[in-house]
Amino acid sequence: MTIEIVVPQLGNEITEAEVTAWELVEGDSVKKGDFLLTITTTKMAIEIEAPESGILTKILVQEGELVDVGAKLGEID
Amino acid sequence: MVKAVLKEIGGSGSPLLMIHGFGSDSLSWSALVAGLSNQHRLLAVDLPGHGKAANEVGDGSIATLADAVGICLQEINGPVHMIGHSLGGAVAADLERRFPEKILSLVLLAPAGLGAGIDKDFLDEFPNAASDAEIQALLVKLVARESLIQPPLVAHVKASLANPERREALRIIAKNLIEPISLTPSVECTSTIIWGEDDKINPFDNTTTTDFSNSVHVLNRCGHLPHVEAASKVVRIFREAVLSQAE
Repeated sequence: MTIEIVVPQLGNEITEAEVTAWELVEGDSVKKGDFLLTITTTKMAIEIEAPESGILTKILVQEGELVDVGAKLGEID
Repeated sequence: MVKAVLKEIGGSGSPLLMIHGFGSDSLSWSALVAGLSNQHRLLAVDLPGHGKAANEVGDGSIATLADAVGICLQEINGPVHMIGHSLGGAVAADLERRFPEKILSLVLLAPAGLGAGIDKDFLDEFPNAASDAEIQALLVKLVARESLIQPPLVAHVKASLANPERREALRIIAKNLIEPISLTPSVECTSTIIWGEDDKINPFDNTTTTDFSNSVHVLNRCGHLPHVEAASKVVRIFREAVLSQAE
């Protein structure tokens, strides 16, 4: 089953964030709760954890790119 | 008049009021939003002398800051859950002691008044920090993983310090934090305490917390910012605290 990794809700005042660094590359296996990537808002850096265990099959947003809250960052299968 | 600013962060459910630490603001809670907004209406203050609040801080004491947040508390319909971090933890504990009927549960993150005491150098240097390098050097003391201190945070802090009145407000509050602060546990509401084991700003000291709470959680790979460095653990502990309070 494909699980989407999305930019989480960050509060009313924050609508977008930048992908700062991925900790893994496509093809890596992950466990639920593993640290996947860091995103940065206008203020805070936030670490995103894997929502489920599996293989990180797709990285859809590269480091340095801006994304909206709710946007898909990658996929775990 | 010393005023705090109340902000709606999002979510719906029983109200949760979040009170930030020294030199921070209501934007510091971002990492908790996703985990808490499905069960709570999230509210956060900018304390006097912080964020969008004015720079009038009076004597800058915990009691004065708690008075200002107390006015925000009146604006919220019904009792609230509260999370307070560091300076905000001492403010939250003071409010809980004074208005127990308005507080449903209390979670304190490395609160001022407990622990080994807040790093005096940090309190002295933060209001006077000028260059990016100085601000960066101070901010990395807050965390166990330096990767959490990114350029936008340095720029945000630098912009917040641009006004000399803001710097003076922080100096006045800092003076109060250097002095010993006494937190009184109340009987009405059992608090939960969360601390990072790598906290260098207000190091954990179990001799100060045992009398205050029987629910103390020390988190590994975590410094002074559990709500940033260990957000999912903080969410889990908060949910457990709310459930146990409801029993």
